[in-house]
Amino acid sequence: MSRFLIVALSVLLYWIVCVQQASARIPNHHLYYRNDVRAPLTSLEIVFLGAGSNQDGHERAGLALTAARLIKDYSKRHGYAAQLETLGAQLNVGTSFQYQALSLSGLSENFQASVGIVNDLIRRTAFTEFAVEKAKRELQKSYQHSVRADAYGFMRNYALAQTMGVPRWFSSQAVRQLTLEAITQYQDMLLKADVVFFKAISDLDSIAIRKSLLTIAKGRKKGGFVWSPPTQEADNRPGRTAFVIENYSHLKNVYFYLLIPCGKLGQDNYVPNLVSSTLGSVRVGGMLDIYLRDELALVYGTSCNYSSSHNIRYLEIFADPRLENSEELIIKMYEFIPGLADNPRFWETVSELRDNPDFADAEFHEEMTPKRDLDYEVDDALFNFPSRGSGYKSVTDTEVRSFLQKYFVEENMMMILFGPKEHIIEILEKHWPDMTIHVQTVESAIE
Amino acid sequence: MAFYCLNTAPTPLSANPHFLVRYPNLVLPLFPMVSDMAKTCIYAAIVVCICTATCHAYRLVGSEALSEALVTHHYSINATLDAVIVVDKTIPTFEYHTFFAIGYADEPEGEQGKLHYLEHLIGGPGSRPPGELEQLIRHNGGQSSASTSLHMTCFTLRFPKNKLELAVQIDRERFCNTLIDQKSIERERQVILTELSSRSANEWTRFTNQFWGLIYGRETFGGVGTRSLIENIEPSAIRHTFEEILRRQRRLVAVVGHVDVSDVLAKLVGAFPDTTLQEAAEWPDPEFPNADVLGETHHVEYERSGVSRFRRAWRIPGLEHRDYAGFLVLNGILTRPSGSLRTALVDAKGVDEFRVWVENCRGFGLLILEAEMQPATSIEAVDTAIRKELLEIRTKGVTENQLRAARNMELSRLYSEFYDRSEIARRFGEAFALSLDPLRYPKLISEIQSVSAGDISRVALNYMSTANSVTLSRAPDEENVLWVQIVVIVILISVPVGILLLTIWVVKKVIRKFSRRKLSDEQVPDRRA
Repeated sequence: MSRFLIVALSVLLYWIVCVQQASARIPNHHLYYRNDVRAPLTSLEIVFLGAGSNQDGHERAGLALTAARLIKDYSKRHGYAAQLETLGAQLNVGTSFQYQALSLSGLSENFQASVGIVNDLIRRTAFTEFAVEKAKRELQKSYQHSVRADAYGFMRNYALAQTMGVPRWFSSQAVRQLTLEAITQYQDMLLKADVVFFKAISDLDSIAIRKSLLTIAKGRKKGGFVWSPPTQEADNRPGRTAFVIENYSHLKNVYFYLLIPCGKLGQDNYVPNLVSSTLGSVRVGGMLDIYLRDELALVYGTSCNYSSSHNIRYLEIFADPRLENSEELIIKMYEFIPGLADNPRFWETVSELRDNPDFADAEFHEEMTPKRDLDYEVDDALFNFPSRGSGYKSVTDTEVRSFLQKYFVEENMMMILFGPKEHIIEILEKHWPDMTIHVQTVESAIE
Repeated sequence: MAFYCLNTAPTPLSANPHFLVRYPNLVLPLFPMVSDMAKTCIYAAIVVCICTATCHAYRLVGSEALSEALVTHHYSINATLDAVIVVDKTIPTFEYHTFFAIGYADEPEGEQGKLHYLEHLIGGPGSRPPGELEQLIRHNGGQSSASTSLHMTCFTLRFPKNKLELAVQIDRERFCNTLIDQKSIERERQVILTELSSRSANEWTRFTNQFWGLIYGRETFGGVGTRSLIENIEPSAIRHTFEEILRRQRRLVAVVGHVDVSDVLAKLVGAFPDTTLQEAAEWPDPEFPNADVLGETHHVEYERSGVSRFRRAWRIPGLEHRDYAGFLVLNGILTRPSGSLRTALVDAKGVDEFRVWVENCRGFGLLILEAEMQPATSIEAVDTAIRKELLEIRTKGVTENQLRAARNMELSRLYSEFYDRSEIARRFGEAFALSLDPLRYPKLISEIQSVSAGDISRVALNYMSTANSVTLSRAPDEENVLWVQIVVIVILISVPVGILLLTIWVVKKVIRKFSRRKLSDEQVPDRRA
């Protein structure tokens, strides 16, 4: 009996600490709102927390996306989309790892009427076997097109799935197996998601928005999807790995992407952000630009972005050398990135960014647009990012050095390369004979 | 809302004539010993002097509201420089865009690429030693970029709100003294060659360049230029493009963000006095450049198999024409998210993507429809669907619901640009480069609102005929297609033949087995017998 009590109490404690705490940060039917009077428009997101791709699992990768497609199809087939268009509004259904969101954007003067139509849609949506099969077919067709249009995005997801265990966005094979029953079950859980919250940007005041949203919140049942924040796991490294993409032999440049995984969501963002800005994320004349374009003239475009996928954070470096310069560029990059901790120019740039109030202000101001500010508030509520009052100024050299030593090492650098396959493989095998090279077609990313 | 007058722009307090009338005592002590009549004369003289001074400084051309919160003021600073100012205090930064009313479509055949080369030099080091300008911008929390398009060359700066003076100073330095020597040309050559090689392998860019080549009647068309031009370009050629072509164009400075209107004007007037002026270049003929191409259909084949494209463009009036808003609404009708030509093509005709847009050129516009599809999809079927839809619009017109939806969608799209300062500035720049009237952009709002169903049928009837259009399609070359077709035919034939042969074989086997068994069954009694 006492053992039963211990187990029961443990489960209860886990529930309170891990599940309830996460959901409690965003109360059910909470409205996140920003006023923006620059245009007579209102954009609203109805967010079903926990109903994103995370819940799909490997076997059903693409379930949330298929459901999103079905809702969109239903809205078109049953005249909801046409009604919204007449009011100057548009409905989209978007799937992220964390949630499923219905996005409504359009003229503020018709906002209340538009919300009424969306509410009706949410409550009436139902799927048939025929609709599911059609949606599956169209989704596969649409992804075959998307994978060509955004080849890099899919290959990045594929590479992170292969090396870091990030779930795949979409799998043709898994989608083919989806049944009406699975979709209906998903839809039921979606509508009963424990936490549904709203994000709105409008020239209307928050009272008017809140009033319009009451119809959606009213009488909504719970007991569906529950969201929990990503758990902190030990960092693993992808190893020296390269993904060479086939069927790009016609290119005269090599499109070089370097992915450097750097921890999990929910960890401190200030250090990776500072490193990314130093290398050249959005500001003019980042280190990569000065070194690779101005000094060596090896590239036309280069960038460094800090981003995340599922709960993996990564820095993503891009360069586009011509074929004749590609070997030199890849070699230089492989010397430059792991050598940053010992590069005096890197430390000069870091201190310049950290200590220059104008730069810090500009970074801060860019985050203050109503949309970005709202996104940050919601992300913060979801992931509880550690906050530092004095921003970059509080980041020490020791923190940056330890970040570089931990992540900016060859075993943690993963390449994705588009260009003539033989040319690229020859370079890689010549300089890094022990590197694991995957030769893939982009289509394999959605198989 | 539009009003036109002289000297209504905010001026410094001491320079405002009303200030003297309202607060004479503040000035009177300066002239304690003169009579009232003399004082009046002195005041009048001061007022005249101030008016004369400010008259030469700038002139308010007009004002238009984008929305309740965003109002645009258009000023003429001098004979070749205009300014558009939109105060948006949402975040404490501003954008400073300089638009020159010239782009690569204005460069003659064989010369294309010089303007783009120059753009790299002005937008890169400008008038300073390499790296210095980038560092200055970076130190002040700024960003910089540049671009060249068909009829416009643009330089952009973004800064925190207290750096307006620096932005104007950089603009002036670049305008007056951009450094063009062998060293700077050499430094940029490799970068531009890298850009060119990237673009030339891009199928969409090649297709688009072929399309514009048809419109402008050029054998080769491309903003970056040819490899041979880039490899052989000399400083003298770029200097000539800078001094004699770019600097003589009409310019627009668009400032959008957290600024004070009078501050911007004062700084622009200070930085660009009339002495910086050269005689403005004459504008090229605003006629449609290659009328021979109208009514023609062109097809290109590429070696590499990939997607097929179909693009049809109708010559329409330019941005300044009263029918222009009608085409924007027609665009909305053709691409609505439900029940439109776009959804029909994407959902039922195997088209991967279908886009419609209006391209603005000098003196004319183009309404462009483009479909992207797999090689197996029939280009003819897409063409037929487009013709059918347009015929229906021409003959039956559009319903009130279709019109309202398209009008509202276009308005929503236009309004959503107001969140993006760069987009607002780019719209003003484009309107200025094509019509010299940047306020054409905000005026479109009311024009879209007043488009009627009759307008849609009329513009479709008047402008959207085959004789007024250019068609360009591309598909993988026929040898590839033929090869694929042969493989498909072989598979199609061999599969049923194989199944037939297999069936015959199985049937034969069964019959043989059955007949053997029958035979043996028949034989057994015999044996027994």
